[in-house]
Amino acid sequence: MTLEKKQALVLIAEDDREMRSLLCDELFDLGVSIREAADGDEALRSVLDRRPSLILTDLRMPAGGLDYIARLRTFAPGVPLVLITSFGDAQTKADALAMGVEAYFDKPVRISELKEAVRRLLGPALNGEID
Amino acid sequence: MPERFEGIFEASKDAIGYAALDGTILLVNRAFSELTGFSREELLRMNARDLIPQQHKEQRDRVVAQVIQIGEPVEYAIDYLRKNGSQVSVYVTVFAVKGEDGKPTGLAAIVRNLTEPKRAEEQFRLVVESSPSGILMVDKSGTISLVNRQIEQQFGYERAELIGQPVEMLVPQHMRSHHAGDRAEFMAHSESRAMGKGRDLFGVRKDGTEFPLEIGLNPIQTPNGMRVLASVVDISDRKLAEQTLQKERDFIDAVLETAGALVVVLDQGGRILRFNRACEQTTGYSSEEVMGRHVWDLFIVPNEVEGVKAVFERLRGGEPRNDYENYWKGKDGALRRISWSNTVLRDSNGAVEYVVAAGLDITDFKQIQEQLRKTERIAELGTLASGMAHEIGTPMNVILGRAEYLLQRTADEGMKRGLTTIVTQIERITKVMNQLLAFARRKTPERRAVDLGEIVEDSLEMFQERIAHSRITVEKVIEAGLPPAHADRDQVLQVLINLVVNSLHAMPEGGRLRLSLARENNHLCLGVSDTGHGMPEEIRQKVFDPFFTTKEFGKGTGLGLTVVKGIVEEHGGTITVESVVGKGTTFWVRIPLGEAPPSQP
Repeated sequence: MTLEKKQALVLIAEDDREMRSLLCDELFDLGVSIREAADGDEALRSVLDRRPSLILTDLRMPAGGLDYIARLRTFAPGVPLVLITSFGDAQTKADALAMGVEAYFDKPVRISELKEAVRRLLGPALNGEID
Repeated sequence: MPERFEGIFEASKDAIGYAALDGTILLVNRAFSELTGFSREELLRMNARDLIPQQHKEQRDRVVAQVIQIGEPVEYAIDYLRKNGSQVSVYVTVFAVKGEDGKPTGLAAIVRNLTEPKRAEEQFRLVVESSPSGILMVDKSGTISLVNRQIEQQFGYERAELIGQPVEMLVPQHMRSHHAGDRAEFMAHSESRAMGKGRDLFGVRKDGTEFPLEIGLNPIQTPNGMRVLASVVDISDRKLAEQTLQKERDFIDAVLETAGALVVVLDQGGRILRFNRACEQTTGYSSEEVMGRHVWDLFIVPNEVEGVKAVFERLRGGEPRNDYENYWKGKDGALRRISWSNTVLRDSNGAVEYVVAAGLDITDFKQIQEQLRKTERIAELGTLASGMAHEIGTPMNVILGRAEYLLQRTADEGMKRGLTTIVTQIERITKVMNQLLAFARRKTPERRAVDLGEIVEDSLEMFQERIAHSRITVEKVIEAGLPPAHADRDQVLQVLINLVVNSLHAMPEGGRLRLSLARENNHLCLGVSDTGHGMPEEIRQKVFDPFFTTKEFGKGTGLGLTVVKGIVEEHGGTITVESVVGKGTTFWVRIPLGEAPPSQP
């Protein structure tokens, strides 16, 4: 019996429409299905509705911030988190990593680097081998 | 008696009488009659002895006998009986009148009334007694012959204790020998004058205490020879008042002269009457140089003269006080900004007599204020940069990301070049933003004792490869046995890296990089020199200003040295730069030694 191929699901949470659109376009190329959220609350609802394979999220957005990251961790344990923030300072980076964020990027980030991190974190799930 | 003698005889003010050897009165003049109260007729019936009171008759007989026997005139004082029973003191000169054989034939007497001189003496005594000054009289030998009540009070002696005593008993012990000499000198060249010209004189009281006095000396001739009348004034109170006044003056002087404030006193015409030391130090003029001159002729810059005069006029016109700020130009032409508080002093009629101005030199304060404003501007810039970074990060990322996205999807070389340019330019902006943020977000240094020499070595090591591939030689002069500095190691390293990078950039054709470290009092002085192109003065002055750069656009952010200066100053240190065009540039960084108090972030 052939295993039904299940596409990896990536949640993209970003309040800037153009940035979200860019991220969607780039990650779509990786062959993942994508859900979008425009603020922290929407992202949490999305996670509760369906657990994603990876979360790519902005930090500074409505209902965002480190509390929001902590809640994401609680609602979606084990889901890799990639955090992007505008010119973050050393403290923000340290706090985020302390919460177990898998990857941290300062905007502006090179998309190639970001895609590389996502690909690495999704690993086998990218090919739908594992849920 | 010849007639012309008779006239003289009658006119004499002294009583003159002539008696026989047995005393029978033979001839008297009018004065004799007036003196005794007996008429001439009555007298011619009397004996000379009848005029002598009983108790003096014997004395009179002795004198008469002497005169007759020796033949020489005798003078003696005696009382005469008057017709009304009273007595009158007289001074009698008696002599024998001789016949042709030389034998006495009669007695003549010239009788002078002593009552008149006595009254004058009494008046003199009263004047002396009532004088507000002490008065004493001494004779040639310095013996006191007269004192008044004031002298008794001044010196604390009874009159009887002084009369007949040497005057030196009133002179303090240590001045006595001097005094005796001076006294002899005065007797020799006597004239009325004050005693002890230019010297402080003292008297000594009976209880041994001394007091300051002033003495006026008057030589007077008396029948008994020359006397000196001295008037003595106790000047203790005056001295005390003078001392108190002097003390007050000294006090005011001390306050004025040591005060950091400038104090100028002007008269009604605006002329300088007082110019304290702070004024001298600030202007370089001495008090003597400016005395009596106008403030506006000396110190005020042309465009402020009118304002200063107006303020002065307002004060003179009755404004009790006002404040003003203006420049004072020193002797060397340097301008100092002074903040003045002005007030007036009035005379007893309430008219303005003096204008007093107290000023503070606020030049440095203004400079610090300016520096602070600059610092504040930089801090604001930091806040602005942080806020801005958050806002522009996303749009920059969209541009960057879209450019990358398109790059992957086009084969058109022209388009690829254009997109690549977009990517690199965004990276440049990112670099500037990051540096600006590093500056804005820099932390308070975490300072501990660090070995600066070691940091110098570390910084050089980081550039080893780059230097090896250039034509730059490195010279390192580190003083041996230096104490540690009180500094944040990472931040000092950042400073050094920045300075070394600048030096290397200044020597694209090669040259010599020199790093030195030496102790300078309680600082360590770090020098970074290059033999590069150097820079002109107008650039040198601006090198620490934010966003000032001489590098080609994109090569430098214009923040490197601003950050360096910020770090050094946060360490309580200083950074200066010297440069000669074509010769090179040297940065001097001074970092405090040991446990310096932490500076404000």
